[in-house]
Amino acid sequence: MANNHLHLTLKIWRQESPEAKGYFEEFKEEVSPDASILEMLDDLNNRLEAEGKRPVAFESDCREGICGTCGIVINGHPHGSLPKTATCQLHMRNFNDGETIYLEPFRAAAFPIIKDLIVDRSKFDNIQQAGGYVSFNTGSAPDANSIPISKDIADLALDAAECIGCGACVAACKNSSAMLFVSAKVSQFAVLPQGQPERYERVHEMVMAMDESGFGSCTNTYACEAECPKGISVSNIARMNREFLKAEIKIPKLEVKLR
Amino acid sequence: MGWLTNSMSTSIGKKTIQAVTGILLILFLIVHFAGNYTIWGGEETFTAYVSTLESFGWFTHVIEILLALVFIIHIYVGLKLAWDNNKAKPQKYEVYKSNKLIDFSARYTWQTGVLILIFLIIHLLTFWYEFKFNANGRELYQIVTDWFRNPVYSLFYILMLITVGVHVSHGFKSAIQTFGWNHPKYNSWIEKTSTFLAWLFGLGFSLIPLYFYFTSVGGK
Ligand code: SF4
Ligand code: FES
Repeated sequence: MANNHLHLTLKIWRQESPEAKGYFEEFKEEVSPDASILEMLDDLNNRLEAEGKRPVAFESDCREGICGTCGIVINGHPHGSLPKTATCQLHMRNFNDGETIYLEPFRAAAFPIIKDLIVDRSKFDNIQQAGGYVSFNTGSAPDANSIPISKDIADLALDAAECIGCGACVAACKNSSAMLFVSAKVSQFAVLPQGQPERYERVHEMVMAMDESGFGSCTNTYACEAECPKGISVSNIARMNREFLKAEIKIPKLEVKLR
Repeated sequence: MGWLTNSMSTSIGKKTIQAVTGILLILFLIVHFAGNYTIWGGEETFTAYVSTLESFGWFTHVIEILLALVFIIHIYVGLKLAWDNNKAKPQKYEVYKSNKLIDFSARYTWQTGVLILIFLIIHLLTFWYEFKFNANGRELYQIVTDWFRNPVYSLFYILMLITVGVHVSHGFKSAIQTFGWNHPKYNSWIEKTSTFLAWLFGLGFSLIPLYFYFTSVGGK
């Protein structure tokens, strides 16, 4: 029966454990163009399990492009070459019949590989916990729209808040810098009135946590922006830089806060 | 001062040091450039310019020492950043591509920086050191034009000046971003200024060796 299936060669990074030596394993796959890349891997894993072999470990959760759990470097692009698309939203119709596809985990010293395509991104949680929050009084929920905010500002905050914390920016960066992620998390609060109480403390603490985690620093190549599935802008990085510099100048007794 | 050292040893702090020293070096290059161009006025104008600088006495030395300091800080912090950044990505990709055509200057900033350092050393040895300690009665004009008669030296010079242009074309706008100035209204101007500075240094400085090489060919 004739079908429009694609015949692909997959080269997938296999690594038993964080310490084990990794290697590429080759698979031949026939797949429908309507399948997503994760569905193709599901298929492959079913087959491997049926054959009694070790399935390919990869992460996913929502499969709707909103949770940031998935993340594979596909032919050299974190989340594949399609702009503003998370791995789970990438469909096989974007590939050609007969193509060879490399699937690699995100690579960064701060993101150690756990198994195959799964990396440990808990450093992002540390950064978030260091300052990525706002304080408010408990009790009934505050009234929506009680603080007037201009559309421009709301847009800036919401654009930054689109970040799903996937880590593709770190994966894309030649320095494994987390600046795009951290700057998005700093910006979404820094521009809003609700974020003012912790404004300078936040950026200071988050940058400290970022530096402690072993990410590189930004050299402004903007590879992150190009690969980010949410199109987070590098203007956020500029904002974080100036917020940080202001914080360092302004916060009294900074030494006490240093860990 | 405790807080300042702490702040400046963070990743953003180090980038800020790079940006500030980088901008200072660009300012120096502009002054250097203007000074060099007195050479078009001929030997006398150029020698007059050199002796004016000399006549400032100790003031010139203070400036020289400050300048050397700025260079050393820029080089040291730059190499430190490059080293740390390389450590942050220990394992490279089998296939590594980008949606952005990342320009050469942004990707190879520290590499062009190292080339410029080599150039700086040779530049100082052949001009500055020669003039100050090994002149044997020659004026700087003489030393400069003698060197540029050498095609290998001139070619090396021009290649290195282009490298300076490439380095600055990323450096200037990168410094502006580090200061936190990124605004849709002004970004295109920042970009243009970066490109202008790159051409000014890359081509502008190169005209001097080019001119003296070609006018010397066949002449002597
Ligand atoms: S900035 Fe973009 S690439 Fe980085 S974590 Fe957020 S969504 Fe992912
Ligand atoms: S699985 Fe949630 S973003 Fe891809």
